[in-house]
Amino acid sequence: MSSQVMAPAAGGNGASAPARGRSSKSLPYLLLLPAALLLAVVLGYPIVRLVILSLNQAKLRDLVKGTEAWNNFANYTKILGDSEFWAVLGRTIIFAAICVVATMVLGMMLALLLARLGRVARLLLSISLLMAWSTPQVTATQVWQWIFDTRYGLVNWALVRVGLTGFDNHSWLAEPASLLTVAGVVVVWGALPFVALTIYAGRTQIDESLYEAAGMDGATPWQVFRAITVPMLAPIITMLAALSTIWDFRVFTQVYLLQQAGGITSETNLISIHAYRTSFSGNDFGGGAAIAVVMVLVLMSFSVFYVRRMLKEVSS
Amino acid sequence: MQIRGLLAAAAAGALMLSACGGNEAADTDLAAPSAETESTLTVWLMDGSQPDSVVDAVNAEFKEKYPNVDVNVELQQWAGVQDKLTTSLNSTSTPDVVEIGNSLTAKFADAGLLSDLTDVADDLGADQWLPGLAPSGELDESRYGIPYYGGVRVVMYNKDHFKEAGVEVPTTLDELEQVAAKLAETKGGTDAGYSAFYFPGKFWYGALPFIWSEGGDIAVKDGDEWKGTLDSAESRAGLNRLKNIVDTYSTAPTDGNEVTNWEVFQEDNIGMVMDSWWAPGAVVGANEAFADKVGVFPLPGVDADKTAPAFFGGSDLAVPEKSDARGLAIEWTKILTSTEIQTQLAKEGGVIPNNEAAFVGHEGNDFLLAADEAAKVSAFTPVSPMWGNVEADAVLPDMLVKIFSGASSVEDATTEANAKVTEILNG
Repeated sequence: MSSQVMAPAAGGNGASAPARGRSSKSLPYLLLLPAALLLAVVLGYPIVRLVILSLNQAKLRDLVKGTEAWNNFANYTKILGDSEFWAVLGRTIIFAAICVVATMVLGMMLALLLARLGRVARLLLSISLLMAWSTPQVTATQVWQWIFDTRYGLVNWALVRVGLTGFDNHSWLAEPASLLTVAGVVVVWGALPFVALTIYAGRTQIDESLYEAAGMDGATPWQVFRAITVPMLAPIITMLAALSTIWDFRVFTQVYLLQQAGGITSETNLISIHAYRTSFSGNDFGGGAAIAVVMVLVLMSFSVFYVRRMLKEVSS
Repeated sequence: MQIRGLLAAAAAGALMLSACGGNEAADTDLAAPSAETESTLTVWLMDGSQPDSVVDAVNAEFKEKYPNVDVNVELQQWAGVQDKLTTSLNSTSTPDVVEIGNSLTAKFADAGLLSDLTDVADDLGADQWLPGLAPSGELDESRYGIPYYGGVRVVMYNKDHFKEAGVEVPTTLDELEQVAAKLAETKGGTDAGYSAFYFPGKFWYGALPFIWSEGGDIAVKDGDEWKGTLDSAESRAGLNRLKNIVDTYSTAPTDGNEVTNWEVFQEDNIGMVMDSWWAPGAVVGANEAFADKVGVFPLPGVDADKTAPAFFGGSDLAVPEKSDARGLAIEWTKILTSTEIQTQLAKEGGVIPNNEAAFVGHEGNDFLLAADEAAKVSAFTPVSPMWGNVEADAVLPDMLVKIFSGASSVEDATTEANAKVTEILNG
């Protein structure tokens, strides 16, 4: 069923235009060519290089001297047989899942808030969101790290002030789960503006008469949200969820920086950091590449799910 | 004076020898080029390693010798420099001289990115280098890194608190514990927010002297294999002593790093704290009112006759294999590592110079003299191309955090870390 509905949307230029001439048939492909070439050079080459690297034994010395040696799937069998890899993968999936859900829920709430606010308040909130959006990750992480600092942190100070003296000198980074929670806060904080503003933009496109009609029928706000807002915004929500999944699965900077400030490094690595450390620290560029390839595959499987869903929503 | 004169004569002699010595080195690129050479020389030094005045002095001297060579000195940031070096040293636009943190020289040398400078080492003053700094630039008996400068950790103490508690600077580790006990008695314990000995958990440079002073080590080379020794009785004894001190006397975060030590020290509720050689000067510079309270001593050893071996960190200078101006690079390096410039560096930069003659730059500076004292007994991390990986994987900080936070016992944490160190070093 769904694939039938999808076909025209996905196919673009279907076989249903026999009357058109040869030139107009090939024109879309010609127009696609520049973009395709650019993608092939910018994205295709690195990916091919990555895959080849992942099938080679490659230490730094090999890269310098050009003595990489083909070793079939040895890198893959090695990383897949490594319990640490599975721990890291599981940790990353949980981390990304929580971040995506938090980002989407909070983003939706902010977007609805934006729609309800008066002009001045909306402008102020939008500006604040844009400022958060434009803060570089490193800067943001440093600021958040200070907010959660053991000795001088704002959070501990505030908690002690309200009587929770147990938080005096509490280390927020010491426990792996706690460190990743702080990292998650930074990630979600950084992702919220884009999600909130995009959903808000989508919300402004919904015909207000739908809401008026629902109001006259006596629908509760929750019913309105379920029956009107969510279905109308479904394509946007799916797209944002897909993007968030990709972003949150690849998180590197926030966790990497927090690891310098506190915590136990080996128990807080996410998959991108694990790939990086395997390559650069472990001097095993083949193994690192293999991890990166697995990462790409996992993300691709997510993406297929989202893209299918999105196409379905667009066409229905 | 006499010693200086003698050394100057020796240096001059060495220069003359090198000038007339027939150069039979296979690597002719390394020979000093003629004075008419026209070229550009790109030098990467680390930000904060040296004051600008030192770079200017080196360039002025170099310009006299090679008037037609343009020198670009580019300052690099420590953060992320390992990756930057990895990529740039392997490119055709590589710099001609690079400064490398000395625990990483072996890694880049092993990758084939650095020139073998064995033939010109004597010319660069190899016989004068501090014994503690020389080994880092060597791999398989070949010389790749020229010691640039060094730095050690020292103990800063609060003179007022010592006076109040009626204690003197300790001369053994046992005494240090007694001093800490007295301080805590007088000034209050950790629950009152006072740290007789402040020590954040990730501070592995500070922990190593405790291991070394008991006769322990990170790993030793046994033939071709590295054998981790963190789980030895000696290493554990050192860590147990440190854990006891940290548990009893430190309010520092057990998973924190040492970067704010010198700032926290100024809050006036710390008796003793280990920090880098430059920290006491920085405290005095930042806080004039606090200046009179700052004292410095080298971390004592188990016995009074020998201070605890300090981790002798620092930098090496190296010439990338792919540089197209290696002869000039060596000439420039020669000036930077000369006793004259090193003395200036010691005085104005406050670092430990690469040779003892240049220590005169520290005269009149008690803080730096204490650092020199600490540097006399020093040790180093395993000189292996794989050591950088132990650092990057945070094996030692992880071990320490687990020990101090109580997540693991000293036995378990050292066993785990030891297995990792052994695996990485032999990888």
